[in-house]
Amino acid sequence: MKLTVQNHGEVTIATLEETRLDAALSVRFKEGMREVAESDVDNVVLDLSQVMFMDSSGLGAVVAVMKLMGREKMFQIAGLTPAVDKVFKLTRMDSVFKILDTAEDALNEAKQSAG
Amino acid sequence: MLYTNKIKSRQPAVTCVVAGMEARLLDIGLDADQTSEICLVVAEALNNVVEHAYRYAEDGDIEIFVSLDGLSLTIEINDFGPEFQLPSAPDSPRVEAQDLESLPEGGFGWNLILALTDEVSLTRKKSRNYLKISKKIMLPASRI
Repeated sequence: MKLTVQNHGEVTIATLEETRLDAALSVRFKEGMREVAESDVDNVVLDLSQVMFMDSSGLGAVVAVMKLMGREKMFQIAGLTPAVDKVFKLTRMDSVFKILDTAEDALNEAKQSAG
Repeated sequence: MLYTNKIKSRQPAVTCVVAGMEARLLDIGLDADQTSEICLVVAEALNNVVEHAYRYAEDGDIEIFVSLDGLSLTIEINDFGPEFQLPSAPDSPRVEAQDLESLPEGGFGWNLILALTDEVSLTRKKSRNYLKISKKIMLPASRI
């Protein structure tokens, strides 16, 4: 499982560099994101733009990650491809997450609020 | 037969079937949107067998047969595990943004299958579970 974590000032972008977030990957993905959640960061964006396929186990893992982040950290997801977006919409989980078009949007927002 | 495979009840094997199905569906000219829907249905159905029929035991056999009759796609998944039940009615997990801890992390699979297909049946015969899923598809005129 390849998960790249980069800090951009106050925003941390975690990019899942996998094309499938399914049952075979979901546990490792959750563990990788647990490390991010337990580190000293306040604003985390999960970039899913490389994920072309996600099943309900993958969705469950993303929900679990949001819980790991807790109420204190800001957690957003970004870059949903059409197939991934559909899973969020069909399960109505799109109403639960803060969803950005791209991870860069979070950086621009942070700049604006700082400036 | 559009696609057939026999796998052990392991999650990486499910990933391989989904990838194989994806290639096959794109090959017959199905668009990306419908292809991803069918792949999702196959993944959810197989995950269901791994979880509920075999309860994560990794040595169970699963047979997959996918056929296309005109524009009607049929997915048949047979396993040799104990009898399992499908939820009797769609039971959508409750989604409430204000209550973080109680958000569901599972229970979506069956609803996704129902939302994306036309007919689903599960029968028990000769110590096997037979799951049959049908879905109408649309192909470009040039590929029919």
